[in-house]
Amino acid sequence: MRSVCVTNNPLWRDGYGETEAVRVMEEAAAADVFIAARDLVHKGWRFAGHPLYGNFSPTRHPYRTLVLIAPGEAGGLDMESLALLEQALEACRGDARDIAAGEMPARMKSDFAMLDRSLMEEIVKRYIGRGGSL
Amino acid sequence: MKLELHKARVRGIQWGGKTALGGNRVLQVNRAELMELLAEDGRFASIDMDIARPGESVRIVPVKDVIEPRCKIEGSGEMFPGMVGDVESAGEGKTFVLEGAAVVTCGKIVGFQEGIIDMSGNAAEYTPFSCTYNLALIFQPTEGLEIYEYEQACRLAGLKAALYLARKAHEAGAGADNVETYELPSMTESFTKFPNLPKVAYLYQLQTQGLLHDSYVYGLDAKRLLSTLIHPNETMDGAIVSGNCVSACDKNSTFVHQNNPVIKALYARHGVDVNFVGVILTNENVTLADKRRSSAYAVKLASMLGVEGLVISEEGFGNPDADLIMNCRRAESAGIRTVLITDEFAGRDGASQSLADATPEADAVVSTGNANMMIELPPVERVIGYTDYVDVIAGGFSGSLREDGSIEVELQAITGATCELGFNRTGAKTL
Repeated sequence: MRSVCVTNNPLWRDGYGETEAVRVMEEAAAADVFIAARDLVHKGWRFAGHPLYGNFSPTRHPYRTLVLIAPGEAGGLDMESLALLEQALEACRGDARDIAAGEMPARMKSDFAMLDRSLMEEIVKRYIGRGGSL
Repeated sequence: MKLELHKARVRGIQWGGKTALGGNRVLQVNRAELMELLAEDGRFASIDMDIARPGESVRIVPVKDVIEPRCKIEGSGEMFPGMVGDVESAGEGKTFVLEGAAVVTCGKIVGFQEGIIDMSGNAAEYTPFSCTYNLALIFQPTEGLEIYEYEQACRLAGLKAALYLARKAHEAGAGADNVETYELPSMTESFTKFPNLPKVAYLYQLQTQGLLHDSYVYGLDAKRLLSTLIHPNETMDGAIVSGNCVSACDKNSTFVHQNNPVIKALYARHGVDVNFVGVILTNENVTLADKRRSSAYAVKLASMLGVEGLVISEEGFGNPDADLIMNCRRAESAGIRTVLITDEFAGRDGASQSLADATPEADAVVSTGNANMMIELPPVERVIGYTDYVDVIAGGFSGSLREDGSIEVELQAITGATCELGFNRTGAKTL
């Protein structure tokens, strides 16, 4: 497996199903997706895209989709990915009054899911290599 | 290439029988005629129009884009080329401008659509569009219209309205109060004209991450562009159009692209203390490979131009910070000194890290403000648009909208409040 997509956005099930390459973490928070990615980064995986994609703080956007590329033969920690991850985790420190996904109106939540998928559609197709669009 | 901006000052706006600029400089708008033009696009279930003047107790929300009314009156090319105009190159000849007027488009493209313009009160101090006479257009989509289509329909309708206002006012005989001339010679001439001045270019980052985060150049989706050169005058004729609907404080509306202060400042200093040789357009993509390609190509173009200095502006925050810093680091490594323009997301107390990325080479940075700063908006007499999602727009939080209509939000929710091109009402000047 060359690449993996970790996400908490259920919309990725459409066209991709739930496979080893697309891991849908149902009900997880955006911060949990970063933590799942952290485990991979520490095993030598590297980000294909910027984890802070989209002009929304991760504390304001309930969904996060991250694509990581498998370690090369040389292995080792990818320092760029580690730095990106640290920046992303820093950005997760929100204000206590930030709205939680559960409090969002249904239309807003579904629009966020659609936007997340749209922003990451091309990168997932490029690195995971299959699936379809909504 | 030489462009003259023929600016007619607008000092009021009202509905009238004929769209024209009166002798008292009040812009009259024929509502029915404009409605008919915009309704040609069958993607709207309804269109509302309203007027907002500086100083009125009015709030416009959620704002999608702001556009300055302009039209070509002489020369090749058309306004908003590739969008509502032909694709031939613009930026030369004469352009008529209704200075002081703006078209403001509103629509709930998505459930979390954002952007607030207050025409009075403390929030008005932060948005440049509290000073313009605004024609607000509120669009409702037809049932089942896809978000992509809705966004495009709103974008094109705003451009059509801006073009309509300028064209009709000019046809009705509106004359210019002043004429501004912008001219840069060919590069060959430029390079030898001011041998003792440092050659400087502008690296202009465009928001291009995807849906609701798009910009267009001559009608092309800018995320597909390889970094390229553009004449600064082309931006004044609407060659760059915003499709960016997120992060209201630092999105560059089409109005701001038409009036880029970095370009104006470089023109003003051209031949004085710098030799302004051109503008390089680049994008802000999601994949790291695309970022590296764009950055390497942009800095290569700067090196080919032989510039010694590069002003770099970004649009947005988080991911675009990576492009900004990558461009800075690469340029400095190539021996080109850089000045960066960005806003900050430093937390509500201003104590957190301001940018998502940093580098020691970024030692000359202009900040346009902290977008996390809290601001309280008083109740207003009239709301144009809808406030039902203020609690959850970027910059809002649970409880933002109070029962009396007042709102407590971060500056992030205010349209243009921390514009990263420096199109702001607040700032500092070295005397």
